[in-house]
Amino acid sequence: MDFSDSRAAFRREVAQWLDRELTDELRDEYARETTFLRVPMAWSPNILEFNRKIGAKGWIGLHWPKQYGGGGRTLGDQLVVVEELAARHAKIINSQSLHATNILLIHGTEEQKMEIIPHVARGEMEVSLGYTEPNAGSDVANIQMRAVEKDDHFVITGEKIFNTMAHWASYHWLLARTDPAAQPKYRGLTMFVVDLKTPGITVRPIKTIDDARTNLVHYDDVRVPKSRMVGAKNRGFYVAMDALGQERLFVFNPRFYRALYDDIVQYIKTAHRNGRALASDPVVRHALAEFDAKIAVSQLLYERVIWLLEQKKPVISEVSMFKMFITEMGQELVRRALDLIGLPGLLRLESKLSVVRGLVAMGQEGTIFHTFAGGASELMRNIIAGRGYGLPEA
Amino acid sequence: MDLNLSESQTILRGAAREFLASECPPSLVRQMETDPKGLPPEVWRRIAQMGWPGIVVPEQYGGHEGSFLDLLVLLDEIGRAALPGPFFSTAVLAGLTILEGGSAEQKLSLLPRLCQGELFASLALSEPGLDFGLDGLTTAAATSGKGYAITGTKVFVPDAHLAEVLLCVARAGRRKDGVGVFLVKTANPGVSLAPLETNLRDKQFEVIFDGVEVGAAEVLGGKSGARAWLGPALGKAMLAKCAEMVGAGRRALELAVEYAKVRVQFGKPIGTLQAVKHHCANLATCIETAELMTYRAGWLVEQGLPWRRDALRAKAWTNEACKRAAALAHQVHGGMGFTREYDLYLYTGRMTAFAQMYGGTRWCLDQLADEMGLVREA
Repeated sequence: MDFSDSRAAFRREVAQWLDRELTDELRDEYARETTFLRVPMAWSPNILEFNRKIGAKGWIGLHWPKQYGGGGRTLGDQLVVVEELAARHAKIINSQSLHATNILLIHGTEEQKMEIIPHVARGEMEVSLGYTEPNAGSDVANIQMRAVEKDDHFVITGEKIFNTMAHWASYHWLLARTDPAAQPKYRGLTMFVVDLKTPGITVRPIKTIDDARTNLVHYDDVRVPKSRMVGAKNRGFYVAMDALGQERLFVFNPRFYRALYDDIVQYIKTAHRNGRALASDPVVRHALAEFDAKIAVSQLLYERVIWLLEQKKPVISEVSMFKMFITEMGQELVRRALDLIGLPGLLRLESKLSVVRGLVAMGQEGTIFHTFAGGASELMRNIIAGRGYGLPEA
Repeated sequence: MDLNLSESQTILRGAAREFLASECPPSLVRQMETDPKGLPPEVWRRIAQMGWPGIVVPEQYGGHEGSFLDLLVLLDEIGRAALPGPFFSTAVLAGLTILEGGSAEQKLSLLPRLCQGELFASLALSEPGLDFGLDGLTTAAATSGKGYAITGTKVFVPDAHLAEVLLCVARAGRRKDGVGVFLVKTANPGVSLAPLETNLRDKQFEVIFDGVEVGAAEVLGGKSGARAWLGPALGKAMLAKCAEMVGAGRRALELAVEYAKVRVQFGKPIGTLQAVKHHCANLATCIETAELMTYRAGWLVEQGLPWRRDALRAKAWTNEACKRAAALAHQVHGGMGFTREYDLYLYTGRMTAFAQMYGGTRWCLDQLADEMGLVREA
């Protein structure tokens, strides 16, 4: 066994660069828009610029082939960048496109790859994920959005919902139904990468309870050239599944929660409530110690997935356990922290009396969607039981 | 990260599993609940022949000089088989304490016999008002003649009935926080044992020391400075207990999953029901995470890196994970798991009882908070 950090040298390099380049103002700005808790209405010019800077450094797509603008290195190295950013409340903001890119690398045409991946690697392009529909959430196979083949193109009609940053993205990563009669239903789906400027596409905002925005994306007889198809016709479900393993490592990161936790501990060490030092309250001490252990658990679950991926072993059960665990822990952390901190924990950053950069307040709503977005906890448990331990299907 | 065992650890695990499957079946574990000794001498003899008691003891003292992770791998298997008997008290509690605190002379006189399986020993630490740790000891060693006189009451001294020697932890010296570890022969006048009845039917004892005289040479590592080295010894014992809990937990998980696959209700296996699936997924998460935390902390010990905080995290987490896992395993089993004929209780009983031993959750979290620099209430 070996629990050492095999990526320590690169981690130091990234940390040093970030400590130099990520100014206090920028760090605050990331925290304000906290991308690991929620997605803001729009990215600020400063954050957009810094994302391009990360890209220019070659740190987006480190694990992709060099011919597409990648770094030709390992997934582990790419995740070092994600982790060190997370430890500073920051993030690669065009992160959805990493999912799309990973699939494009396997199934995309040369033209698709050259058109998209180098821009993603430069940090300047987002690909918004279009899987979910009003009637297809966890049940991806039930997608209704219709793509009808006609001559050299498909005509696509229907509606996608909860497509984060579709208003900023250049492309839509679209899973649509090409065979309405297919049984089982997941065999009738096809993957497309669609230019969001194509006539007939409307992106409408949906305001969310965490003061953020997601989108409804409406297709009205949209002509999409066949060259936009990713992988084979009616194989879209399998194509989508090909990158699900590693994607979850980019969305939730234990180092973000460790950073948030450290901020909470730091605040509690200085705070007084009800006439005594907050940190001397045994209930507070025990709650914080408990989360110290829990975050360490999430870190190990995370590292285990990377290790398995490096061994080219299946990760489906392990990555599901990680996703379930970290999102449930994150929710619990902000809720318990609120109780420990008390009323000041309810104040948003804008308030002159806010504490912990208003993150505990933001987290109350911000963490709610984590346990159902990108694979609901219930689904994760089904996968652990079914794929991990062989329990039978109903 | 690399979660694979080394080649020699894989062999050790395989040999231990095979041996325990044949020599320590659940029927034996059950039988030993009412056995006065707690383990057939023949089984112990073979355990000693395989070198288990001295697995981490240096070769110069007759041991195998294995690594700390080797010990965890072995205890994982011991937990999975619910092996009763004096392995933990002798090899872990006494063995690690002697290794950490004993002089070369003391090691030479005790460890070779311990490794051979000839010397049974145990640790007398807990008191009626003290579960674990070194704060609040009331048992005291007073200077007397050429040595010491020890007076006090110890509880939860495992396998004291077998032990030839007890390592008695007592207040000593002039300083208020002075602690010493004294080698006390159970045959000495003034030592009296009384069994403590536990749910687990493990062999726990109250040991009363009534002015027991021990010689000046019968103190481990200096008469009052034990705090510095006993802490690490107890920390390692804590992790060793974690490994045993993880092994028992693995077995409970396997039993629950197997039962969910074969138990038919409403015309289908209950494992097809999502509610039961989720119990199993939660149970699996408990055990897998406890395992990761335990081995990571063990690896830090092995590497000689700072490990105290991670050991506390590991025990706190393993305690809670195992308690939850035990409850879930029973929920999946329903009435069947509630019977003494069925094996499940052998593992869940250990999972819950061990969660209280060598660092209960409350104690671990308290220590962890200290480590994190959170001030204690005045």
